[in-house]
Amino acid sequence: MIAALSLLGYALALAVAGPRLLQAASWADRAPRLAIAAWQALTVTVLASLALAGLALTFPTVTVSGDLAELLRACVMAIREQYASPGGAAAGATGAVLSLAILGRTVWCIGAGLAGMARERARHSSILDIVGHTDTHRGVVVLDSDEPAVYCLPGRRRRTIVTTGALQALDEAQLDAVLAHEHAHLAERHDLILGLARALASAFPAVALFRTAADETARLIELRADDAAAARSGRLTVAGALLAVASGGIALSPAVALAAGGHGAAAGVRRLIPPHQPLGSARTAAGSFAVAALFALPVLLLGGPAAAAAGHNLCPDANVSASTAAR
Amino acid sequence: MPKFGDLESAIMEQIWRADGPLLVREVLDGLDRGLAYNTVHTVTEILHRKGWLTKERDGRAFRYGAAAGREKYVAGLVTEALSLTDDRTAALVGFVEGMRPEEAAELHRLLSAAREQDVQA
Repeated sequence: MIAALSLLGYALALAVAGPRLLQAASWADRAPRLAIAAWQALTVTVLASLALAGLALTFPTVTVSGDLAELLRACVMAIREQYASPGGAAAGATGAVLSLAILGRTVWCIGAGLAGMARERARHSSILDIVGHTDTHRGVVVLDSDEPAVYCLPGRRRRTIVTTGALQALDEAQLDAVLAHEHAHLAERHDLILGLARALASAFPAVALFRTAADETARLIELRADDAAAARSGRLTVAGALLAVASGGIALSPAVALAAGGHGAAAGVRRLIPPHQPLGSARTAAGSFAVAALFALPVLLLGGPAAAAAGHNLCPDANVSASTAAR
Repeated sequence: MPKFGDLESAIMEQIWRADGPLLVREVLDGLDRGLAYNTVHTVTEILHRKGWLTKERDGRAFRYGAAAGREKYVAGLVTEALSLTDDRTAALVGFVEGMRPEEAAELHRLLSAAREQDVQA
Protein backbone atom coordinates (compact mmCIF):
# COMPACT_ATOMS: atom_id res chain seq x y z
CA MET A 1 0.00 0.00 0.00
CA ILE A 2 2.87 2.32 0.85
CA ALA A 3 4.59 1.54 -2.44
CA ALA A 4 1.37 2.24 -4.35
CA LEU A 5 0.83 5.55 -2.59
CA SER A 6 4.45 6.64 -3.15
CA LEU A 7 4.14 5.83 -6.84
CA LEU A 8 0.88 7.74 -7.14
CA GLY A 9 2.48 10.67 -5.34
CA TYR A 10 5.51 10.53 -7.59
CA ALA A 11 3.36 10.49 -10.74
CA LEU A 12 1.32 13.42 -9.47
CA ALA A 13 4.40 15.44 -8.47
CA LEU A 14 6.03 14.79 -11.84
CA ALA A 15 2.90 15.64 -13.80
CA VAL A 16 2.55 18.96 -11.97
CA ALA A 17 6.15 20.07 -11.46
CA GLY A 18 7.81 18.39 -14.46
CA PRO A 19 6.36 20.53 -17.27
CA ARG A 20 7.01 23.75 -15.32
CA LEU A 21 10.63 22.86 -14.66
CA LEU A 22 11.26 21.78 -18.24
CA GLN A 23 9.56 24.78 -19.79
CA ALA A 24 11.49 27.14 -17.55
CA ALA A 25 14.81 25.39 -18.29
CA SER A 26 17.04 27.75 -20.23
CA TRP A 27 19.15 24.87 -21.54
CA ALA A 28 16.30 23.28 -23.50
CA ASP A 29 16.73 25.50 -26.57
CA ARG A 30 20.49 24.98 -26.51
CA ALA A 31 20.22 21.19 -26.36
CA PRO A 32 16.94 20.35 -28.11
CA ARG A 33 17.72 16.66 -28.40
CA LEU A 34 18.24 16.29 -24.66
CA ALA A 35 15.08 18.30 -24.05
CA ILE A 36 13.08 16.00 -26.35
CA ALA A 37 14.42 12.98 -24.42
CA ALA A 38 13.51 14.69 -21.13
CA TRP A 39 9.88 15.20 -22.26
CA GLN A 40 9.71 11.58 -23.40
CA ALA A 41 11.13 10.38 -20.08
CA LEU A 42 8.69 12.56 -18.18
CA THR A 43 5.59 11.29 -19.98
CA VAL A 44 6.63 7.64 -19.97
CA THR A 45 7.61 7.77 -16.29
CA VAL A 46 4.29 9.28 -15.24
CA LEU A 47 2.41 6.59 -17.15
CA ALA A 48 4.65 3.81 -15.86
CA SER A 49 4.37 5.04 -12.26
CA LEU A 50 0.58 5.00 -12.44
CA ALA A 51 0.54 1.54 -14.01
CA LEU A 52 3.02 0.27 -11.41
CA ALA A 53 0.96 1.80 -8.62
CA GLY A 54 -1.98 -0.27 -9.83
CA LEU A 55 0.25 -3.32 -9.89
CA ALA A 56 1.45 -2.63 -6.35
CA LEU A 57 -2.16 -2.47 -5.15
CA THR A 58 -3.02 -5.73 -6.87
CA PHE A 59 -0.11 -7.76 -5.55
CA PRO A 60 0.83 -7.36 -1.88
CA THR A 61 4.44 -7.12 -0.74
CA VAL A 62 5.96 -9.83 1.44
CA THR A 63 9.07 -10.31 3.48
CA VAL A 64 12.00 -11.41 1.39
CA SER A 65 13.67 -14.62 2.45
CA GLY A 66 16.64 -16.49 1.08
CA ASP A 67 14.59 -19.61 0.57
CA LEU A 68 12.51 -19.40 -2.61
CA ALA A 69 9.87 -21.87 -1.42
CA GLU A 70 9.55 -19.86 1.77
CA LEU A 71 9.15 -16.65 -0.20
CA LEU A 72 6.44 -18.12 -2.43
CA ARG A 73 4.56 -19.50 0.55
CA ALA A 74 4.68 -16.11 2.22
CA CYS A 75 3.44 -14.60 -0.99
CA VAL A 76 0.43 -16.86 -1.26
CA MET A 77 -0.37 -16.15 2.37
CA ALA A 78 -0.18 -12.43 1.75
CA ILE A 79 -2.42 -12.63 -1.30
CA ARG A 80 -4.97 -14.81 0.53
CA GLU A 81 -4.89 -12.44 3.45
CA GLN A 82 -5.39 -9.35 1.31
CA TYR A 83 -8.22 -10.77 -0.76
CA ALA A 84 -9.92 -12.31 2.30
CA SER A 85 -10.88 -8.86 3.55
CA PRO A 86 -13.37 -6.86 1.48
CA GLY A 87 -11.22 -3.71 1.70
CA GLY A 88 -8.12 -5.55 0.52
CA ALA A 89 -9.99 -7.16 -2.36
CA ALA A 90 -11.42 -3.79 -3.40
CA ALA A 91 -7.96 -2.20 -3.37
CA GLY A 92 -6.61 -5.10 -5.41
CA ALA A 93 -9.41 -4.84 -7.96
CA THR A 94 -9.01 -1.06 -8.21
CA GLY A 95 -5.30 -1.49 -8.81
CA ALA A 96 -5.84 -4.06 -11.54
CA VAL A 97 -8.40 -1.85 -13.28
CA LEU A 98 -6.07 1.18 -13.05
CA SER A 99 -3.14 -0.70 -14.55
CA LEU A 100 -5.13 -2.30 -17.34
CA ALA A 101 -6.97 0.90 -18.20
CA ILE A 102 -3.76 2.91 -18.51
CA LEU A 103 -1.93 0.28 -20.51
CA GLY A 104 -4.89 -0.46 -22.76
CA ARG A 105 -5.70 3.15 -23.48
CA THR A 106 -2.04 3.95 -24.23
CA VAL A 107 -1.54 1.05 -26.59
CA TRP A 108 -4.86 1.67 -28.34
CA CYS A 109 -4.28 5.37 -28.92
CA ILE A 110 -0.72 4.91 -30.12
CA GLY A 111 -1.87 2.24 -32.57
CA ALA A 112 -4.78 4.35 -33.82
CA GLY A 113 -2.62 7.47 -34.08
CA LEU A 114 0.13 5.80 -36.08
CA ALA A 115 -2.35 4.01 -38.35
CA GLY A 116 -4.17 7.28 -39.02
CA MET A 117 -0.92 9.03 -39.87
CA ALA A 118 0.06 6.24 -42.25
CA ARG A 119 -3.32 6.46 -44.01
CA GLU A 120 -3.08 10.24 -44.40
CA ARG A 121 0.44 9.91 -45.73
CA ALA A 122 -0.52 7.28 -48.30
CA ARG A 123 -3.35 9.50 -49.55
CA HIS A 124 -1.13 12.60 -49.70
CA SER A 125 1.55 10.58 -51.47
CA SER A 126 -0.83 9.25 -54.12
CA ILE A 127 -2.02 12.77 -55.00
CA LEU A 128 1.59 13.92 -55.05
CA ASP A 129 2.38 11.17 -57.57
CA ILE A 130 0.02 12.77 -60.05
CA VAL A 131 0.42 16.51 -59.49
CA GLY A 132 4.10 16.71 -58.49
CA HIS A 133 7.16 16.82 -60.72
CA THR A 134 10.21 14.84 -59.67
CA ASP A 135 13.46 16.79 -59.63
CA THR A 136 15.95 13.93 -59.79
CA HIS A 137 18.92 16.29 -59.58
CA ARG A 138 17.97 17.56 -56.13
CA GLY A 139 16.04 14.49 -55.11
CA VAL A 140 12.86 16.42 -54.34
CA VAL A 141 9.29 16.64 -55.59
CA VAL A 142 8.32 20.05 -56.94
CA LEU A 143 4.78 21.38 -56.61
CA ASP A 144 3.52 24.27 -58.76
CA SER A 145 2.42 26.74 -56.12
CA ASP A 146 3.26 30.36 -55.45
CA GLU A 147 2.99 29.76 -51.71
CA PRO A 148 6.55 29.10 -50.49
CA ALA A 149 6.62 25.83 -48.63
CA VAL A 150 9.07 23.03 -47.96
CA TYR A 151 8.06 19.92 -46.11
CA CYS A 152 8.78 16.24 -45.92
CA LEU A 153 6.60 13.19 -46.08
CA PRO A 154 8.03 10.49 -43.80
CA GLY A 155 7.38 6.78 -44.08
CA ARG A 156 8.39 4.04 -46.44
CA ARG A 157 8.44 6.33 -49.48
CA ARG A 158 9.99 9.28 -47.74
CA ARG A 159 10.16 12.40 -49.86
CA THR A 160 10.92 16.07 -49.55
CA ILE A 161 8.55 18.46 -51.27
CA VAL A 162 9.39 21.98 -52.43
CA THR A 163 6.97 24.44 -54.02
CA THR A 164 7.97 26.62 -56.96
CA GLY A 165 7.30 29.59 -54.69
CA ALA A 166 10.00 28.34 -52.30
CA LEU A 167 12.42 27.71 -55.17
CA GLN A 168 12.00 31.34 -56.19
CA ALA A 169 12.41 32.66 -52.65
CA LEU A 170 15.63 30.74 -51.93
CA ASP A 171 19.12 30.85 -53.42
CA GLU A 172 21.14 27.64 -53.87
CA ALA A 173 22.87 27.78 -50.47
CA GLN A 174 19.59 28.48 -48.69
CA LEU A 175 17.82 25.66 -50.51
CA ASP A 176 20.62 23.34 -49.46
CA ALA A 177 20.11 24.44 -45.84
CA VAL A 178 16.36 23.89 -46.02
CA LEU A 179 16.83 20.42 -47.48
CA ALA A 180 19.32 19.58 -44.71
CA HIS A 181 16.62 20.64 -42.22
CA GLU A 182 14.07 18.29 -43.82
CA HIS A 183 16.57 15.43 -44.07
CA ALA A 184 17.24 15.75 -40.34
CA HIS A 185 13.48 15.32 -39.73
CA LEU A 186 13.46 12.20 -41.89
CA ALA A 187 16.74 10.69 -40.67
CA GLU A 188 15.96 11.12 -36.97
CA ARG A 189 12.37 9.89 -37.36
CA HIS A 190 10.87 13.04 -35.87
CA ASP A 191 7.52 11.89 -37.22
CA LEU A 192 7.50 8.93 -34.82
CA ILE A 193 8.66 11.04 -31.87
CA LEU A 194 5.92 13.57 -32.54
CA GLY A 195 3.36 10.89 -33.39
CA LEU A 196 3.88 9.18 -30.02
CA ALA A 197 3.71 12.45 -28.09
CA ARG A 198 0.47 13.38 -29.85
CA ALA A 199 -1.00 9.92 -29.36
CA LEU A 200 -0.50 10.25 -25.58
CA ALA A 201 -2.05 13.72 -25.66
CA SER A 202 -5.12 12.30 -27.38
CA ALA A 203 -5.22 9.27 -25.07
CA PHE A 204 -5.42 11.38 -21.90
CA PRO A 205 -6.81 14.77 -22.96
CA ALA A 206 -7.54 15.76 -19.36
CA VAL A 207 -3.87 15.56 -18.38
CA ALA A 208 -2.20 18.87 -19.24
CA LEU A 209 1.24 17.27 -19.08
CA PHE A 210 0.71 15.26 -22.27
CA ARG A 211 -0.66 18.21 -24.24
CA THR A 212 2.28 20.38 -23.18
CA ALA A 213 4.72 17.58 -23.98
CA ALA A 214 3.30 17.24 -27.50
CA ASP A 215 3.46 21.00 -28.17
CA GLU A 216 6.98 21.30 -26.82
CA THR A 217 8.11 18.26 -28.81
CA ALA A 218 6.75 19.84 -32.00
CA ARG A 219 8.73 23.00 -31.24
CA LEU A 220 11.92 21.22 -30.20
CA ILE A 221 12.16 18.96 -33.26
CA GLU A 222 12.17 22.13 -35.38
CA LEU A 223 15.06 23.54 -33.34
CA ARG A 224 16.90 20.24 -33.61
CA ALA A 225 16.45 20.20 -37.41
CA ASP A 226 17.65 23.83 -37.56
CA ASP A 227 20.79 22.83 -35.67
CA ALA A 228 21.41 19.94 -38.04
CA ALA A 229 21.01 22.28 -41.03
CA ALA A 230 23.27 24.88 -39.37
CA ALA A 231 26.00 22.29 -38.88
CA ARG A 232 26.00 21.84 -42.66
CA SER A 233 25.26 25.30 -44.02
CA GLY A 234 26.03 27.75 -41.22
CA ARG A 235 23.57 29.37 -38.83
CA LEU A 236 23.07 32.61 -40.73
CA THR A 237 22.30 30.75 -43.96
CA VAL A 238 19.63 28.72 -42.19
CA ALA A 239 18.23 31.85 -40.55
CA GLY A 240 18.12 33.58 -43.94
CA ALA A 241 16.38 30.61 -45.52
CA LEU A 242 13.79 30.40 -42.74
CA LEU A 243 13.13 34.08 -43.03
CA ALA A 244 12.89 34.04 -46.83
CA VAL A 245 10.33 31.25 -46.80
CA ALA A 246 8.35 32.53 -43.81
CA SER A 247 8.13 36.17 -44.81
CA GLY A 248 7.22 35.19 -48.36
CA GLY A 249 4.25 33.27 -47.05
CA ILE A 250 2.36 36.03 -45.29
CA ALA A 251 -0.74 35.70 -47.40
CA LEU A 252 -1.50 32.21 -46.17
CA SER A 253 -4.75 30.34 -45.92
CA PRO A 254 -6.74 31.24 -42.78
CA ALA A 255 -6.03 28.00 -40.93
CA VAL A 256 -2.32 28.42 -41.42
CA ALA A 257 -2.34 32.09 -40.57
CA LEU A 258 -4.08 31.23 -37.33
CA ALA A 259 -1.39 28.76 -36.36
CA ALA A 260 1.23 31.30 -37.36
CA GLY A 261 -0.21 33.78 -34.86
CA GLY A 262 2.29 32.19 -32.50
CA HIS A 263 5.90 33.10 -32.93
CA GLY A 264 7.35 29.72 -33.86
CA ALA A 265 9.15 30.72 -37.05
CA ALA A 266 10.23 34.12 -35.75
CA ALA A 267 11.61 32.61 -32.56
CA GLY A 268 13.44 30.01 -34.62
CA VAL A 269 15.13 32.69 -36.73
CA ARG A 270 15.95 34.80 -33.69
CA ARG A 271 17.62 31.85 -32.02
CA LEU A 272 19.90 31.25 -35.02
CA ILE A 273 21.25 34.78 -35.37
CA PRO A 274 23.60 35.01 -32.34
CA PRO A 275 26.55 32.56 -32.26
CA HIS A 276 25.61 29.05 -31.14
CA GLN A 277 26.28 28.11 -27.53
CA PRO A 278 25.82 24.37 -27.27
CA LEU A 279 25.44 22.92 -23.83
CA GLY A 280 28.80 21.84 -22.36
CA SER A 281 29.55 18.13 -22.13
CA ALA A 282 29.39 18.19 -18.31
CA ARG A 283 25.93 19.71 -18.30
CA THR A 284 24.76 17.40 -21.07
CA ALA A 285 25.96 14.42 -19.03
CA ALA A 286 24.23 15.76 -15.92
CA GLY A 287 21.04 16.23 -17.92
CA SER A 288 21.20 12.72 -19.32
CA PHE A 289 21.73 11.37 -15.82
CA ALA A 290 18.68 13.27 -14.57
CA VAL A 291 16.60 11.83 -17.41
CA ALA A 292 17.75 8.30 -16.53
CA ALA A 293 16.98 8.93 -12.86
CA LEU A 294 13.38 9.85 -13.74
CA PHE A 295 12.96 6.36 -15.20
CA ALA A 296 14.75 4.58 -12.36
CA LEU A 297 12.88 6.17 -9.47
CA PRO A 298 9.54 4.35 -9.84
CA VAL A 299 11.33 1.01 -9.85
CA LEU A 300 13.18 2.00 -6.67
CA LEU A 301 9.96 3.23 -5.12
CA LEU A 302 8.31 -0.09 -5.81
CA GLY A 303 11.02 -2.38 -4.52
CA GLY A 304 13.84 -0.34 -3.02
CA PRO A 305 12.78 1.48 0.13
CA ALA A 306 10.69 -1.34 1.47
CA ALA A 307 13.39 -3.88 0.77
CA ALA A 308 16.03 -1.71 2.38
CA ALA A 309 14.05 -0.86 5.50
CA ALA A 310 12.10 -3.99 6.31
CA GLY A 311 13.20 -6.56 3.74
CA HIS A 312 10.02 -6.25 1.70
CA ASN A 313 9.72 -6.99 -1.96
CA LEU A 314 7.08 -7.18 -4.60
CA CYS A 315 5.40 -10.53 -4.62
CA PRO A 316 6.35 -12.56 -7.69
CA ASP A 317 3.72 -13.83 -10.08
CA ALA A 318 0.74 -15.11 -8.13
CA ASN A 319 -0.08 -18.01 -10.43
CA VAL A 320 3.39 -19.45 -10.15
CA SER A 321 3.35 -19.26 -6.39
CA ALA A 322 -0.09 -20.79 -6.14
CA SER A 323 0.84 -23.77 -8.27
CA THR A 324 4.06 -24.27 -6.35
CA ALA A 325 2.23 -24.15 -3.05
CA ALA A 326 -0.27 -26.72 -4.28
CA ARG A 327 2.49 -29.25 -4.77
CA MET B 1 6.98 0.35 -70.02
CA PRO B 2 6.61 3.39 -67.78
CA LYS B 3 5.77 3.06 -64.11
CA PHE B 4 2.05 3.00 -63.43
CA GLY B 5 2.10 6.23 -61.44
CA ASP B 6 4.03 7.91 -64.24
CA LEU B 7 1.37 6.99 -66.76
CA GLU B 8 -1.42 8.26 -64.49
CA SER B 9 0.47 11.49 -64.12
CA ALA B 10 1.08 11.79 -67.88
CA ILE B 11 -2.58 11.15 -68.72
CA MET B 12 -3.75 13.77 -66.22
CA GLU B 13 -1.20 16.15 -67.70
CA GLN B 14 -2.71 15.65 -71.19
CA ILE B 15 -6.24 16.22 -70.00
CA TRP B 16 -5.37 19.26 -67.89
CA ARG B 17 -3.62 20.79 -70.88
CA ALA B 18 -6.52 20.14 -73.28
CA ASP B 19 -9.38 22.61 -73.78
CA GLY B 20 -12.10 20.08 -73.13
CA PRO B 21 -12.73 16.39 -72.42
CA LEU B 22 -10.67 14.00 -74.55
CA LEU B 23 -11.23 10.62 -76.18
CA VAL B 24 -8.83 7.86 -75.15
CA ARG B 25 -7.55 7.93 -78.76
CA GLU B 26 -6.68 11.63 -78.38
CA VAL B 27 -4.91 11.01 -75.07
CA LEU B 28 -2.95 8.18 -76.68
CA ASP B 29 -1.86 10.40 -79.60
CA GLY B 30 -0.83 13.17 -77.22
CA LEU B 31 1.26 10.82 -75.08
CA ASP B 32 3.42 9.79 -78.03
CA ARG B 33 4.97 6.91 -76.10
CA GLY B 34 4.05 4.01 -78.36
CA LEU B 35 1.66 2.59 -75.78
CA ALA B 36 -1.15 0.17 -76.54
CA TYR B 37 -4.66 1.66 -76.72
CA ASN B 38 -5.85 -0.81 -74.08
CA THR B 39 -3.17 0.22 -71.60
CA VAL B 40 -4.14 3.86 -71.80
CA HIS B 41 -7.84 2.99 -71.71
CA THR B 42 -7.39 0.89 -68.56
CA VAL B 43 -5.45 3.57 -66.72
CA THR B 44 -7.95 6.23 -67.79
CA GLU B 45 -10.78 4.12 -66.40
CA ILE B 46 -8.85 3.71 -63.13
CA LEU B 47 -8.43 7.48 -62.89
CA HIS B 48 -12.17 7.84 -63.46
CA ARG B 49 -12.90 5.35 -60.66
CA LYS B 50 -10.53 7.20 -58.34
CA GLY B 51 -12.50 10.39 -58.98
CA TRP B 52 -9.85 12.24 -60.93
CA LEU B 53 -11.71 12.13 -64.28
CA THR B 54 -15.29 12.70 -65.38
CA LYS B 55 -16.69 10.50 -68.14
CA GLU B 56 -19.30 11.40 -70.75
CA ARG B 57 -20.62 9.47 -73.73
CA ASP B 58 -19.69 10.74 -77.18
CA GLY B 59 -21.21 8.52 -79.88
CA ARG B 60 -19.79 5.01 -79.39
CA ALA B 61 -16.84 6.20 -77.27
CA PHE B 62 -16.36 8.15 -74.05
CA ARG B 63 -14.73 11.48 -73.41
CA TYR B 64 -12.76 12.00 -70.20
CA GLY B 65 -12.38 15.39 -68.54
CA ALA B 66 -10.60 16.59 -65.39
CA ALA B 67 -12.80 16.51 -62.29
CA ALA B 68 -10.83 19.46 -60.88
CA GLY B 69 -7.95 21.64 -62.00
CA ARG B 70 -4.41 20.77 -61.10
CA GLU B 71 -4.14 23.95 -58.99
CA LYS B 72 -6.89 22.73 -56.71
CA TYR B 73 -5.04 19.53 -55.85
CA VAL B 74 -1.74 21.34 -55.39
CA ALA B 75 -3.32 23.98 -53.16
CA GLY B 76 -4.96 21.22 -51.13
CA LEU B 77 -1.65 19.48 -50.57
CA VAL B 78 0.16 22.67 -49.62
CA THR B 79 -2.55 23.77 -47.21
CA GLU B 80 -2.57 20.33 -45.66
CA ALA B 81 1.21 20.31 -45.28
CA LEU B 82 1.13 23.70 -43.60
CA SER B 83 -1.82 23.13 -41.31
CA LEU B 84 0.18 23.10 -38.13
CA THR B 85 -2.94 22.93 -36.00
CA ASP B 86 -3.91 19.51 -37.29
CA ASP B 87 -2.52 16.80 -35.07
CA ARG B 88 -2.62 14.20 -37.76
CA THR B 89 -1.05 15.88 -40.75
CA ALA B 90 0.51 13.53 -43.23
CA ALA B 91 3.42 15.84 -43.78
CA LEU B 92 5.95 16.52 -41.10
CA VAL B 93 5.96 20.13 -40.04
CA GLY B 94 6.24 22.49 -42.96
CA PHE B 95 9.35 24.60 -42.90
CA VAL B 96 7.12 27.62 -42.99
CA GLU B 97 4.90 29.45 -40.71
CA GLY B 98 3.68 32.86 -41.62
CA MET B 99 5.20 35.86 -39.96
CA ARG B 100 3.92 39.34 -39.24
CA PRO B 101 5.47 41.84 -41.68
CA GLU B 102 6.95 44.06 -38.96
CA GLU B 103 8.46 41.01 -37.29
CA ALA B 104 9.98 39.88 -40.59
CA ALA B 105 11.42 43.35 -41.18
CA GLU B 106 13.06 43.38 -37.75
CA LEU B 107 14.56 39.95 -38.28
CA HIS B 108 15.88 41.01 -41.69
CA ARG B 109 17.68 43.92 -39.97
CA LEU B 110 19.13 41.67 -37.26
CA LEU B 111 20.26 39.14 -39.81
CA SER B 112 22.06 41.62 -42.06
CA ALA B 113 23.78 43.15 -39.02
CA ALA B 114 24.99 39.69 -38.00
CA ARG B 115 26.19 39.01 -41.57
CA GLU B 116 28.21 42.23 -41.58
CA GLN B 117 29.78 41.30 -38.27
CA ASP B 118 30.66 37.93 -39.74
CA VAL B 119 32.35 39.52 -42.73
CA GLN B 120 34.35 41.86 -40.50
CA ALA B 121 35.45 39.09 -38.17
